[in-house]
Amino acid sequence: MKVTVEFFGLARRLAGVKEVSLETADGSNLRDILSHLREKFSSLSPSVIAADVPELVPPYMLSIDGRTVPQDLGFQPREGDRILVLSSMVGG
Amino acid sequence: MSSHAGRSLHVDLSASKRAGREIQPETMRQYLGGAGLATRLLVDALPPRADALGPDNVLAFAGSAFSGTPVPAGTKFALATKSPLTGFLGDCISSSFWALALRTAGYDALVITGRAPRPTYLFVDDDVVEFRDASRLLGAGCFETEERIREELQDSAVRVASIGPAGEKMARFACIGNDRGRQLGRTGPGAVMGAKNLKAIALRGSRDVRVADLDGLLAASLDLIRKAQGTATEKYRVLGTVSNVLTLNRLGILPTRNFRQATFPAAEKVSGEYMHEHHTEKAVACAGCPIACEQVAKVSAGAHAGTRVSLDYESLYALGPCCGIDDFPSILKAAALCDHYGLDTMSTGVTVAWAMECAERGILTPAETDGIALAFGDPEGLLALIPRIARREGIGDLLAEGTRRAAAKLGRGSEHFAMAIKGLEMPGYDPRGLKTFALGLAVGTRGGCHNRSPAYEPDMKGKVDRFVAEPGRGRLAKEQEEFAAVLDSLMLCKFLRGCFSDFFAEAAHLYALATGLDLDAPALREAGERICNLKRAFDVREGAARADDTLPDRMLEEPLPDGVGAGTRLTRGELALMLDDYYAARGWTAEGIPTPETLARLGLGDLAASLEGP
Repeated sequence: MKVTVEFFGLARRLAGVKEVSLETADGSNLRDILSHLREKFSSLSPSVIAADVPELVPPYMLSIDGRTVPQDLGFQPREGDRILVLSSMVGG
Repeated sequence: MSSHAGRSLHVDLSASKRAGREIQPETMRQYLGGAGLATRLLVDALPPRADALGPDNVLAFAGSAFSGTPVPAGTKFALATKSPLTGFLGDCISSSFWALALRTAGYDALVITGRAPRPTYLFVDDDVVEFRDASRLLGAGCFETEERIREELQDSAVRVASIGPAGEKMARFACIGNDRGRQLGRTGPGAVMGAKNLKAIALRGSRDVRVADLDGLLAASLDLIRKAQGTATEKYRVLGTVSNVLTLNRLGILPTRNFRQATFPAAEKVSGEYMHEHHTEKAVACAGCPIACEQVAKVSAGAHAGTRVSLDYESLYALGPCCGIDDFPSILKAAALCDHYGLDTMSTGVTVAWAMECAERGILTPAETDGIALAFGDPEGLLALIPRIARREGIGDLLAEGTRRAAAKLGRGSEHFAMAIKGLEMPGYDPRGLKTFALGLAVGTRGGCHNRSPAYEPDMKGKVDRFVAEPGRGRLAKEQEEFAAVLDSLMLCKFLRGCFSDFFAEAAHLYALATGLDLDAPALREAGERICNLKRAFDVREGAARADDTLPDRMLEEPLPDGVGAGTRLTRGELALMLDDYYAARGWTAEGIPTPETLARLGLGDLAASLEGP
């Protein structure tokens, strides 16, 4: 399954790229994708992805194409989904 | 012992008199300080329906229980007044050393009434209050005013809050500047000072700040400081709020060209990332803050070389994408001009965007705009208008009235795209794509404000579908407002909120350690509800009704034009549904009036009579 991950804010700065395409096993969930990202971009830990487990560090979240924010990392994206790594920031 | 001084200073400018008054501990338990205390003082001192630019209006400043203590990000102060822009509550918050000086001078609050007979600045030096001649300061910008007052008083440690030319001319969205770059920015408090012939307030304090439990407070503060320097606040420190641009653009909620679009094609050029690569000089902190969110940017070359200004997202959105402008040096210059003249950057940008749309539609002709060409994307028009607005010259006199009044005066259909809520120009998020936030904006007591209503949180975090309006959003908006009200009254920076595991319990504990007042989490929550109802009661007393809890026509009649949510509508029916839901959650009538029962439950029973209809 191929998905594209887009980075915003500090996540982009740390990853060093705006986006990346990932090839993952069919049936992968968001936790699997975080594992891939942690492996590919070690710089995302510990600020965005926890260093020891594939979990996001608050206040970061994953959005599916900017429309929905799955509340459970067990969510399975679909082929071609664009997954945004961003934080809820408003102001100032 | 308590970190509260237990005193307020009351200054009558008309009579050149001052008086100290005691503030009872119970008052602090009820209103906490900051925004809560300032609003209560305003409600008590302001005659109903007073002219916001008349001598009866009140400037009620209130400080923080944490100023001068080890608690981080708590050196802040609030102001409550009647806004000349909205006619309702004008409540503002600023930070840094002026807040500290208010406390060390020995006061929790400063209440100013009347009108000085001649241009004046106040100098409060502990118990001594001087009414000093400000005639030689007239016309000076905010930064220059601070410097010259310090020179005159021969003390660089004096802290100054001042108005620039915009406040002197009573531009309705004039701000008050303090500590060289902080502002009481929104709703026009600078105009209120200008109407009072009050150019500045200088403070110097020598008193110690004592706390109830120093060892306990030190330990709790050190823990909070460590967290405040960690991952929860890293994004503010490293990039600042300017990094919102690309996120909001991708989410299809970046207001562009006066909210005609929700995505900006040139977003990369006005992004926080671009600013960091080309303009950011350093990150700066307020007094007593370990986060350091303030991003200072400079222009090194070109027509605006030498410009140096701190820039946050809201200023960037209003002076950039909202005006269709993608030239970063020009945006920085515009922000610097606003700071100098003492203008709210957000209201300035959104009002100019309105004028740009008027020009585009032929509603405003070049002859009516002093020959200034106004067009979306052209920074020269924006930069030419800012001084005119500040000085109320030519077309600037109309624009200085704010978008709502300017559109009402001009007519010609321009009212449809006047992007103000209760008269306050909108913040940088398209509410058609954040429907809980849309409700929060509509019911905001100072007008449309992201700061007083963090109702965007459930939308952006996916707790609810941000494109849907449904029952239940009222409770969410209520909870977010009360959370903000507590932060604003305890005077803790909102950027600290991610550092708490259980905010109300931990904040109540901090407050008790500092003040000795035994508030627990439920009492703190109730204080938040009380303060929100107090603010609403003030607005209702000043004439607010359900009809004012609304959004601009464009938001309710046009769908999102582009981006992820293209085609989404926010209808009047949806807003009405959410309003009913919110009023019910609040214990208000169907017209949005706090009931006597709700007021009594919250200890605000004294206000019930003033809310009764004619």
